[in-house]
Amino acid sequence: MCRIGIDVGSTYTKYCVMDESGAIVDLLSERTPIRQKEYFSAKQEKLSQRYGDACIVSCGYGKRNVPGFKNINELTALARGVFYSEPESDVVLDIGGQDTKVILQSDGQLKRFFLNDRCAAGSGAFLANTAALLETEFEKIDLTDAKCPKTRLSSVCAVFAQSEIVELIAENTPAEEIIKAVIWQILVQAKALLGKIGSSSVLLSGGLTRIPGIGQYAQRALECECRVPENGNFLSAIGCALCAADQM
Amino acid sequence: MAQSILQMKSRLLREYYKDFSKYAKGRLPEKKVAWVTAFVPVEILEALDISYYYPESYAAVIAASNAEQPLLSESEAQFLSCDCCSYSCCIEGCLEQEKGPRGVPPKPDVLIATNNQCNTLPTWWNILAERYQVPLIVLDYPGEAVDRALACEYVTKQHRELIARMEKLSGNQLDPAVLSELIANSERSVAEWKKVAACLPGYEIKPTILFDDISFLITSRCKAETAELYRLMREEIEQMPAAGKDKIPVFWLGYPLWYHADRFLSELLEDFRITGSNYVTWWSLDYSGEDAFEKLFQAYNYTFLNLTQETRNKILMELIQNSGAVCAVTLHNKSCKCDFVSAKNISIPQAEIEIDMIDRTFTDMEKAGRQINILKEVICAG
Amino acid sequence: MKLLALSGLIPEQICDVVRFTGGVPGTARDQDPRGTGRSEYARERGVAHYCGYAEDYISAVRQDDTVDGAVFPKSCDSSRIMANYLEDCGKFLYQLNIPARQDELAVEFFAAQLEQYREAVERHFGRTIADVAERTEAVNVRNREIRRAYADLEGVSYRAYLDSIHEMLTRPLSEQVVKKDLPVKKGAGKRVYLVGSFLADTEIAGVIEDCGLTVVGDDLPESGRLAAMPEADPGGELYREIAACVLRGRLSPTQDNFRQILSSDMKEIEEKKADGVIFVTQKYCEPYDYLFSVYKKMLDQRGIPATQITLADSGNERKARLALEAFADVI
Repeated sequence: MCRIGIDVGSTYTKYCVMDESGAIVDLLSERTPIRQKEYFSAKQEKLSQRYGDACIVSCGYGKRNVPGFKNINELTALARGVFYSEPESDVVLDIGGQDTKVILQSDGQLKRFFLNDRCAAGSGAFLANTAALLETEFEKIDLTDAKCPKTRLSSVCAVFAQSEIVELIAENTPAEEIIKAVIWQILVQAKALLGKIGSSSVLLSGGLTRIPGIGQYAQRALECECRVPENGNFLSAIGCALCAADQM
Repeated sequence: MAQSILQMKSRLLREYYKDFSKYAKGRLPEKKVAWVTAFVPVEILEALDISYYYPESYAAVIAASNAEQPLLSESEAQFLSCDCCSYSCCIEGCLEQEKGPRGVPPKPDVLIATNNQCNTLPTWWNILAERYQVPLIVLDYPGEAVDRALACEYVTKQHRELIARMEKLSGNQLDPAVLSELIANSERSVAEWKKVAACLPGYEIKPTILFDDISFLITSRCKAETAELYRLMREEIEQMPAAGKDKIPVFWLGYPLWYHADRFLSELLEDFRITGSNYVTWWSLDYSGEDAFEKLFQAYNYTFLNLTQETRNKILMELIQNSGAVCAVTLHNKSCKCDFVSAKNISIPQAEIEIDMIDRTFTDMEKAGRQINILKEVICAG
Repeated sequence: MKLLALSGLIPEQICDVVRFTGGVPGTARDQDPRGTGRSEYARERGVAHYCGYAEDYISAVRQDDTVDGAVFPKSCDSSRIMANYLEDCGKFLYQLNIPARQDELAVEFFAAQLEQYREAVERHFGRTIADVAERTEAVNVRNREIRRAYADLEGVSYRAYLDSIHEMLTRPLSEQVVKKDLPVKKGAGKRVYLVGSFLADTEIAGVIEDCGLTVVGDDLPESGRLAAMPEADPGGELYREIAACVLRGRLSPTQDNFRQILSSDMKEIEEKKADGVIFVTQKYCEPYDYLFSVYKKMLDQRGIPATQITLADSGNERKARLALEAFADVI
């Protein structure tokens, strides 16, 4: 029986399929649907047809809509997934669609965590909305060799930041520069969270890890060593699959 | 004359900072040390030969030295919310890292806080008390809304109790004649300062001088030389050219921006001239009364932020009228909601700007610029 | 006469006040307890950095036609300046100075204040208040019942318990009955102690229980602090007794005595063997923000995990749920 971990994020749902030996068979990602209960019921059927019987554990925003064995907290899942993929990394900065979080894990156990209690200008949704406004595809964002942005946003509130961006557009600021400024702002806002854990080295996780060059860029913004794991977007899904294995 | 003003300021500053770690270099203070909030009856402490320090003032110095950001971050890392007063965040970061442009103040033997300015300061003093494990004395000033006789009795009893406790701490006995003389010094300092502040509308001076030099009224008001310092300053100002009439007279309603070289948004106010400020009137305490205790009650119970809104409105309107200002820059200070509400009913056009007096990153300068431009258009159109 | 009190620091013994428990008539939260509608007042005024609970109180006073007046303390910066936002509402307004000390001097002063408060109510509403002693005894009796219910906290649904207290406090004193038949708690989870200001959004209490946590004690003003309020002797120097009641029970951080709070809370946390502490605070509530910074240090020194949930206008429940679930896994 295989193990399937499902991380239902606000924007994307990530799947991790593991075989009985605990090896990752597949990592999949799709946009999170609107009618989640219906969708995931049908999805379970499809997964079963493709991979056979499976034990499913879910986490994330819409975890309760997934018919599975159980659902767990995404930070707990993240801790497990990080330990599996990057056991040397204890401090993790996860920039999700709705939240930014920092966790400390030890041997796959969640030890400490902090959530961004400031506005949504510190999360991935802000970047997604900005990209949409600029008609820029997320997949085309590339920060390879990017220097610090010339433009800086001053607002920590999504509402005010949005109007700053509208003004930048009106001033013919290049879209690429605005995107860089938004990502910089998201990272800088995460600094306060990192300060509470106090680490000189951090593992990045979440959707932003798909952006080429994000590691170096984050290093400049956060002023600490930043590593980007191979499957940075799937760590919580991997953690869920591992929890599924525990149950079997 | 300029030289002697400078010499006097240097002497007062040297005296004030001599026990800070940068200068003390491990030497312990000779006297007992109190950390006080901005409106504590320091005449009592001075009379008992107790040194007193103002953490809020030091936060201003830190910001002025461009050193506040790492300390604010440190404070947040220590779980003090960044939504709290930036004076406290800045100082907590300074104490945690033991870093500051003048080092750190000498360790307190006692902490004294009052609520005649806001309710946040005594709360902050509670966390200082936990840090240093020293006694905390909170002086409760009921304010203008409470019956005067009742308030006077309550406050006077607290002052007497403070004296008794400070006598025990210092090992000195309070000499009533000394206390009276110190109160008289404060009265003279206030009287001279008022004359200095009154120069702002009429002379070509920047409010920067007032924002910076009111610090002596805060930290040294009952010292004999402060009145003389202000008298000399006023004489010097009166030698300066009269203020031109080519700029728009504006009232600066709120705190100085300690991180700014000019202490106000000078780059956005080139077409304006600041002719008045409420901040520079806050320490012009009224020491009227029959005896020392009544004078202290009058001065410290009726501080500006302890008055009713009605009285504050009246005072503010008078200040604005006397300044000749036709508009105001009103600061929504992230660190002080009590001050902002003073600006509710001032009946002149205002540019309301979100700022923080310590954290330079808080202000959206583009937005502030737009607000001020709109203000200018309104005034010019009118 | 319906006077809406902002805080438990407003003594119920003097005259009839009902407690503001959060929610504003005509907003989403009022229609749907799970909603998080922001008050009309806050939207209109654009009041920044101002406590949401205080904002909602202002709205309730202004919009609720059944409210004849507001009684609020001068105890924190939000309440200190509150009169400015209510001065044109045309209703009875009274601000009570809560002494920043708890000594005999403060008790004496506060007692005199309370008499003046009573006189102000009598003058405004044209009536004589002659039942302070009876009200004092009624408060004592009610608080004994709350104490009994609090002692049984581990056995009942914490959300149901808080809901019942909130509902009770919205009634006049003569109609207040402490509910006895609260739903029993299913199963014993990890033990947590709750610290915070008035928990208007009891959904959070529900989330805590959903995460498998058992609240074994708290210092909330409507629960642990009310249960610990000393009794005032109705036959003694009445106003002095009532003043001492308010000033000397379990304290609010607005009463400037963190040492007492830390000491009494720690004693209860240890007695009840709490596995962790949850701080639930309103955004822009400085007294609790300052308290948390030293409270956390105290708990860290003792190896007791703690987490802080900050309630703002929206997204309360989702973020709180995420943090509480994670906390349940950590402890």
